[in-house]
Amino acid sequence: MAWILDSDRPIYAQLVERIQMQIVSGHYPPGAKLPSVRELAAEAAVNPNTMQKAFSELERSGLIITQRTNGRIVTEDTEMINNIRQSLAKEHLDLFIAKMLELGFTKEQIIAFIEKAVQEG
Amino acid sequence: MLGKLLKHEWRSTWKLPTALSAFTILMTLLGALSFKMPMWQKLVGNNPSSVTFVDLVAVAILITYFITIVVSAYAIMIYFSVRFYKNLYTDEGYLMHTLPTTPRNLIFSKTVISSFWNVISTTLMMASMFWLFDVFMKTLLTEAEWKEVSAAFAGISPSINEIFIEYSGVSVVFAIFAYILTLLVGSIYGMLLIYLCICIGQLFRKHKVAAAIIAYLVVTTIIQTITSVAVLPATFNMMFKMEAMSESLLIASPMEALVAPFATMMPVIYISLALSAILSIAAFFACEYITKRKLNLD
Amino acid sequence: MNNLVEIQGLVKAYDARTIAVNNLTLTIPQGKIIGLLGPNGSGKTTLIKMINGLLAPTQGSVRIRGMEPGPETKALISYLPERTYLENGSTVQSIVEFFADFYADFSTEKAYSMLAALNIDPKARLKTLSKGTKEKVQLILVMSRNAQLYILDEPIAGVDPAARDYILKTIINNYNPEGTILLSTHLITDIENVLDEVIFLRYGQLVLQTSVDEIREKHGKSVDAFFREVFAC
Repeated sequence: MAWILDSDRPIYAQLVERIQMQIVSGHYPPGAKLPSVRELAAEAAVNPNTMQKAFSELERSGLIITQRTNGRIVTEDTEMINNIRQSLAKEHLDLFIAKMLELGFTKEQIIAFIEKAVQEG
Repeated sequence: MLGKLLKHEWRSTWKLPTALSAFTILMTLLGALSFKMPMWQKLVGNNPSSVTFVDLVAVAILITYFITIVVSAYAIMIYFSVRFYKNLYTDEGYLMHTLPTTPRNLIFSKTVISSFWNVISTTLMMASMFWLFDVFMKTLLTEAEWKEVSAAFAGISPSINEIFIEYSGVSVVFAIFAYILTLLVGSIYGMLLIYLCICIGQLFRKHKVAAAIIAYLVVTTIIQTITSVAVLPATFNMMFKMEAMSESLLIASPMEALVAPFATMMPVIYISLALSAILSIAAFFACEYITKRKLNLD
Repeated sequence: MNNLVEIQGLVKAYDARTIAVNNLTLTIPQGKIIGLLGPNGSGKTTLIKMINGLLAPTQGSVRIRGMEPGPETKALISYLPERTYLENGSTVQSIVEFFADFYADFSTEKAYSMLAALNIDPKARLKTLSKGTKEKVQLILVMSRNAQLYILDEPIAGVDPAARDYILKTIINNYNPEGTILLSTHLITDIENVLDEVIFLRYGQLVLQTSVDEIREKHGKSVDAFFREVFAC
């Protein structure tokens, strides 16, 4: 049940990433209501203050909006969500490409490799 | 808080003393019944014959009775001593000493409940022996003989009383009450003394129980000494009075010679009573001080 | 006042050679979950006893909400020691009633619902329960209070992993911005994610007081790994 987190990086940063991921992947769709800090902290098995810090960071970036009576909801700004999706994907992609180059693949070989992999599902 | 502590202490400890008291009462009744058995009749000389099994049973019952009486008295003290130690100074102490209450309340609640049972136990013991003695007398003597003895006793008791008042300033009845009070306060005092020695034992880092036992021996010795010294004046007084009595020609009767010594002992009883009371209070506050300032649970 | 516990120049010396707490000065803020960490003999248990009023300081002071340890502070503190401190002959139910009687902030419903969640029969006598179950009962009693300071001494050491998760979840759920939970333990990895701050003690002195994330940011390692570094033998 507890979220699996790296032990050598700050926890709140990892929580931010995880929640971002959940929003971007549609687990929490635009406009959806988020669980309370305490609920999510209990689910993740982390300190509520740390979860609060993560939420604050997400609020600052605009991904989460705090409503006075309704709690916290995901932004309706689909463009922002999409931008984040793109930049997260780019991060993974950059890492992948760097690794493939290290393995000795050429650029054309990389593209062929990806095509084949995606076709085969 | 004190009320809650008293309630909890009562609930946790009432079973054994009640059982012991019930057993004492049972044994007393059995003892009384045993007097009705043939053996005693034989003793009285009505039906002399050889010893039978039934006689042995009667004797066994009486022996059991005496053992019960003696054991009961000590059992209750030992039970509450162990309770005090276990509840306050072993692992349970971690619970008791973190309750939102004072050490004074903790010790006081235990003192009240254990004193209650000690008093009950002492009273039961005295009542039981007294009653059995009465039954015994009624068995040995016939109804008529007992009435005679009672009447004769009633006849001379005013004069006994007079002599008693002359030598002590108080009546026999008062003296008996004073003596009973001394026994009761004495039992409370005995309990508090054990509590104090347990607390003293706690002051040592190791061998706390052994230290408590040694403390007990040391403290009781010291107190015996103090008590003996304290009653010395009264004892001397008594001796002088006896001396004066025998040298003078004022003795009215052999009865006076019999009663007077007891009467002159009254001061000793007063001093015992006062000492027990004062030492009880001192022991209580000493326990409180040690618990408050020097608590160190393992 | 934001400081729950203030410790100033605290010393506990049993004799000239055995100094368990050696001139300790620290504050424990409210609204945090704090780990009290250190090797054996570092003074953790002695410190905990002094906060609880179970031991008198040799020098210095301990103040809880500005008060010296006594009945008022004991009403604010919910303490779970490392040992079984309940009367063995009692039933679970009678102990729940005992706590409800003595502690105004105790919630009987909470206690019974936690007992049910862990499948513990309230009518059972303590002496019939396993050691692990007894520890769970004690933890439930302590966490069913709405205290300002919870002091938990090795709360997960003798407990199976599933119950451990449940216990950590309970600790998180009991978190209250006006209160603080002080956890003393050796099992750092298991609880790191739950802690706000850690206090490292050694030889009765304060080595470090900082937040978990700060250790990870500054040193790039977990608190557990950092601890091993600091206290390497």
